[in-house]
Order: sequence, then structure tokens, then C-alpha cells
Amino acid sequence: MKKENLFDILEKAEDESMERLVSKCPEISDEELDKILDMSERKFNMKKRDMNKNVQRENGITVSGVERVKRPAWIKPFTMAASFVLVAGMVVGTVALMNKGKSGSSDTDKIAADVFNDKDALKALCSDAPSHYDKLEASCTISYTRDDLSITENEKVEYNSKEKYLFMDEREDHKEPYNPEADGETYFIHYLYKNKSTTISPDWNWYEVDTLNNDWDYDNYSLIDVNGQPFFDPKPIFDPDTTYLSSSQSLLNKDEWSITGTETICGRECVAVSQESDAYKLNDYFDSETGVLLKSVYEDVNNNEQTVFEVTDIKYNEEAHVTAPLEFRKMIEEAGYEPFYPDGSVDPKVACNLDFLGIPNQPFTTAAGKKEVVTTTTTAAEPEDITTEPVTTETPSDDYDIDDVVGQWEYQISDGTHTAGENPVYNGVITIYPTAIYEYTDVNGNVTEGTVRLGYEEIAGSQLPKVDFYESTAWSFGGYYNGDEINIGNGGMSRLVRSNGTTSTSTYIAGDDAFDAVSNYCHKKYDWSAAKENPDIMYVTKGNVTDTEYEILFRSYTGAFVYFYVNNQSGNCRIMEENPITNEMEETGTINIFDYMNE
Amino acid sequence: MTGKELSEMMKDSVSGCHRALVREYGRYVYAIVYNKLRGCGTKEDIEECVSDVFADIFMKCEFDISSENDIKSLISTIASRTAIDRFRSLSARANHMTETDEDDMGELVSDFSVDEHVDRSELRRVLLDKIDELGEPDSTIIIQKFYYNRNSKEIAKSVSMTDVAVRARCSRAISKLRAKLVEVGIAI
Repeated sequence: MKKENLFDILEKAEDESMERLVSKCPEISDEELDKILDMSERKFNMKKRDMNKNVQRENGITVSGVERVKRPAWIKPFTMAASFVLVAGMVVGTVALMNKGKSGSSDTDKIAADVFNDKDALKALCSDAPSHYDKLEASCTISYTRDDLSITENEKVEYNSKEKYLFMDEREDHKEPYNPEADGETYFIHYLYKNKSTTISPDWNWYEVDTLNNDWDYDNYSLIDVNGQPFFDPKPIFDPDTTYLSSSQSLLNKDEWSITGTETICGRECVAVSQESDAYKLNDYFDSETGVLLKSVYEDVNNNEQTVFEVTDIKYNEEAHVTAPLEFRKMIEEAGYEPFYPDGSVDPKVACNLDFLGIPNQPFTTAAGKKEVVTTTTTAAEPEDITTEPVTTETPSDDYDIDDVVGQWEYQISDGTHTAGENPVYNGVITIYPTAIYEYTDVNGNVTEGTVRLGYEEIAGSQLPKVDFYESTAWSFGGYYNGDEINIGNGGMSRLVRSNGTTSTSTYIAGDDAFDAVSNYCHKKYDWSAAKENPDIMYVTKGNVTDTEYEILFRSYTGAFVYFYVNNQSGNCRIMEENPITNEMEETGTINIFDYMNE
Repeated sequence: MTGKELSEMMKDSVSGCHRALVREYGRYVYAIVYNKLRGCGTKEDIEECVSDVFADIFMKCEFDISSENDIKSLISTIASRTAIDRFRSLSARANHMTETDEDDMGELVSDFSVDEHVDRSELRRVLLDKIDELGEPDSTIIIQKFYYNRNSKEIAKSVSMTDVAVRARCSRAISKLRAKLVEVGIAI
């Protein structure tokens, strides 16, 4: 066996394969062909001259002397000019780098300025569009039209710019008369969260999790625009250091575009911008309040519209629904998609572990029989290289769950002489979120993150509650939970202590308490008689968890759902229902769950 | 184009004939040479070799071309032979490095395992079939990016898209391709 890049297999291709590769060969410009022609003619003339020499030699004719080649007079100034361009480029580049970052505040100040007339203001607005909204939900279409090709894409996009999670549902209809194999519809769902990119293929019934680097924006910038349109998070592509600058990032160089007017798209007032080159014309329309691109038309030199991107519906902030991480996990597990990781070197279940999306407090019910649900146990398959991880067994318990460890913890280590308890040395802060995600900020300010799992370890016949911290799927460290302390190891060398004054026990509402209170409310408010004969027809269940809210769902016997959003500090709860006529979610009331606790 | 047509053109203008040959077959010769030198030659090596091929073809035209047959197969033979010669001389050089695309190819295409005994030409055919099934512009994007090592900006020109659109389509296309290859037993 040997390892190689898949595309190396195309080398040394024979006739039929070669013809196919020739058909995909990049265009070679006339200038490049002329260069090849010049080189070829020079070589041809040399060959011809050599051949004539040989013929003359064979015929007894000799030639003497040296042919003088005169260096053209323009060579010297030309090379000087070329050198100057190179040096000037370096100087300009250096100055640009030195000035980088100095103009940020002034750009921001200009956002409030007249974006309909001031190019700087528009550029500033659009280069940091996500700072002008927290949530975005949009539908859009993209169409590509060529002589022998037509592609139409319908996309649903949901983006939480603060929490940085992104959901995309893409359906593509492909028509290519001369390649019927390629015709058809494809469907992918993408989800970007933390340092993971998850793709679902409903057609193939699989999902795949890719672990990326730790720069969310950079890793995902090719996806966070919608098929190349700088839709909602253009900041990375405004970075002059990136090598992926696109002509569609029309605002980057303000000398290359002009403001041409206004247009209303999806009820939003937009600034129209136009840019032209010798190869194309680009008309972009930016939301004048948020800087989001709502329409883009790419025309060829003959004014044929080749690519049209258009947002057909857009909602911001409170009006927008963004699929939360746990909701996305629920989608995968309920549908029973299989983990997919084509490289056979790793177990797909390990590579496609969904714990980074949060760990549900109870199994998602409807497809539980179809697919194994990952729970808080750490005895599930783990990467083979984890050799030091202690065995932690799952022991279902009502009195120890993620709510108990949520909050900020100070990481303390030993000074080398005393235990961490006797003379603690500060080693950073760990914040654990209700979504079972933790962030560790070390003493140098470096941030790492991962997932938290709870379990028990049996020592001398006692079940000790344990907290394990994972980076990606690899176990990082763990400790024994004891109220306001998590002791790491037995020797007292390091521990986590709840940060002063930040303990959440005083005001924090546990998920179970919120659930019980909402359940009490639902049993009081709604008629449950239909559930006597068929208990499955009505139920209350937990939904997504964010850092501030619990989502709890009530299903009526009619099949309708009522959503409760409980603030985990104040207990205030919004009640949302779907309007059967408009299919939009509407707030139908509020309660405070403290009124329904302990009933 | 036949040998006879070429002879007629030569009578009118030698340089005009050379130009027509390069315009007509330049991309074809480039593709053949690239196929042989992709793993060991730089861009300049490939250009140099393409010009060698045409110099040989010009010589052929000058002295020995009168056939009624299409000259494409002759050009193909000269291009393959010249490229193989160049491949041997380049391979002999120590410490030869190839250029890679500025984009992160490694992230998108991992190593794959090939049994030495598997018929490479069959694999080649299957791979090209699956790439074709992606349709346009994805198949062109994939080939130009991963086989011809062109960057997104260069590809964008040939498929009339922005380079960011090319990159976005590419990452989706590679997902589709991987799934299609897994279906036929090729894991990447």
C-alpha cells in the first residue's frame, strides 16, 4: 500500500482519460500562447541552423567567426522600470501593513454617516455587517445561467452573530443538457458551530463532522457567504491579508465602484453599488441599516445576467429564528442520520461525535429506537490514543446534572511545595455553560474550549460524582465534584474553585426546575383529558438551552406546539405559538415560573 | 487540421502557419505535457517543454508533412514523447520541489490508499466519471483546482464566476465527490 493524493492518479493518463483532462484544461490566454510561440520559434530557428550547419559540414563548407548579438537599447530602462515597480510595491505594501488597524475607529464612526452618498460610510457599514444585528434568518435564491447550463439554488440561512452559529439549508436544481448524469437535485444542510463544520446529506442519509482550526471566521468564510456572495459576515474577506479577495467584494477598493442609487428589496431600503471591468459588470445592493448584501447581479461583457443572487425574505433579531446547537443535534438524531467519515482510519462515531452541540438532558424520543443516543457516559468509544483517561461510568441521577457545575471556576494549581488548597497558584479561569461547553482562559489569556461530561467513578465502593473535560473528542482532564470544588486528581495538586461571588446557585434556575414549573403551568392551563387514553398524544419536553434561556415545548392533542422560553435568572417566561394562518411565531403571553414552582 | 492543409498554409506564410498551430493546439499540448510533468516540473518547466514540442512540430512541418490525416495524433505523439524525455531529466535532478496551490488543498483532499495492484487506468476512469457526474461548473472547478493546481482566482475566469463563489462551490463539490467515490468503494 502507498499513500498519495487522489488526483495524482490522473497523471500519466492514456488516450481516453487524456482527452477528458484536455477538455477541462484551463484556458491559455493569447499572451501566454504568444510567449510559447516566441520560445518555439527561437528553438525552431536554432534547430534549423544546427541542421544547416551539419549539412554544410557534410558538404565540406566551413563557417568561421562569432555572431554578435546586439542588446536592444530599451532593455536597460525597461529593467530599471521593472525594478522600480517591484520596490514601489514593497514600499506600498509595507506602509499599508504599518497603517493596518489604525483606521478602525474612524471607520466605525462613519457608520452613522450618510451611507447613500458617502463611500467610506458604506464601506464601514458593510465590512462589519454582523455588528448591526444579533440574529438573522433569510431565504435566498442563486441562479447561474450559461449557454449550456442552468443551476438554481434555494437556500435557507439562519445566523446568530453573537453566539456564532450558523444553519444553512441548501437545495440545488442542476440542468445541463449535454451531461444528463449531472442533472437533478441535491440537498445539503450545513451547521457551523465552535470549531466544527457539520454537514447533513438527507439524500444519502448521513452526517459528517469536520474539525476545523480555531478561527471561526477564517475557517468558515467560504460558507458564511452564500455561494460566494458576501451575505452576512464579510469581515474576513475584507481582510487585506487574505489571498481570497474576490471581485464581488466590490467595496474593498473604493476607486473601483460607485454608488448608483437606492432600491427596496424585501421591504428593506438598499444602497445600489455598481462596478465594471473589462470582463464583467457587478451590481450589488446592500441593506442600508445592516450592510447585509441583499442582491447581486453578475453580468458578462454582453450584459447577459450570469449569476443572480437575491434574498427573498429576511428577518433580524427578535423576529429571526436561528436553529440552536442542541436543536440541530436533535434534528440529526431524530432523523436517524448515520455518521459518515469516509477515511477508514477512524471510527465515524468518534469522528462525528455530536457532544460539541450540547448534551441533551433526556433522549430525543421519536427516533430513539433507530439510533443510539449519546448520553453523558464517557465509556463510549473514544480515540485510541487516550490512554490516561480514567474509566467513568454513567449513573443516571436526578440530583447531579450540568446545572450543578454551570458557572465560572478558578483553576488553581500547587506552588510545588503545598497543595493547591493550602497555597493556590492562579492558573486561569474555566467557564462552564448550560450547553455543556466549557471555555478555559489560561494565565496568558489563551482560550481553549471543549465539552463537559458528567458521570461517576467508583472508589472504595462509593460513587463519586466526576466532571470530565474534553477538547474535541480527546479527554483533557477531569476531577471529582464536591459542591464548590472540583478536585483534579487525588494529590491536591490542582483544583477548580467557584469564582468569588460568581456562583450561580443564588439566582440561577436549574433546567429541571424550569421544566417542572412549565409542566405545572401546562397541566393547570390545558385540558389533558385526551391524554388519559393515549398518553403519548400530549407531553411537555425540553428544547434548546442557551446561556440565558431554556426552551420547553408543550404538545397539544391537536398536534400544535407551544414554546416556552424561560430566562434562567429572572424566571420570566415568554410563551410563543405558531399562528395557523401566517405560520409565523407569535408571543401569546408571559408568565413567571416562580409562580408555578413547588406545586 | 490535416498535413496537407498545413503544407498549404506553409506556402503562404511560415510564421502564420506556426501561429495557427500554436493557437489551435496550444491548450492540447499543454494538457498532455502537464499530465506528464505535473508531479515533478515547475510552471516554467512545463512552458519550456511545450515550446520544445512546438519547435519539433515546426521542424516536422518544414520538412516532412504532407499526409491527408489529421495531425492531432502526430502532435499527441510528439508531445507525449517530449514530455516523457523531460520527465526523465527532471526526475534525475535532486531536491526538486513542486509548487502547490495557495488554497488549502490538504484540508479538502486527504491522502487516499491505493493498492499497487489495482488497475490505475480503471481508477482514473472511475474518478473522471464521478467528477463528470458533478456537472458544470463543479467538474471544471475540481479538475482545475486539484489536478491543474489553479487557484480560485484563475478558475473564476474560466467559469465566469467570482473567485469566492468558486471556492464555495468547490468545497461543496468535494463533499459530493467524496460521497460518490465512497459509494464505489474509494475512500478519500
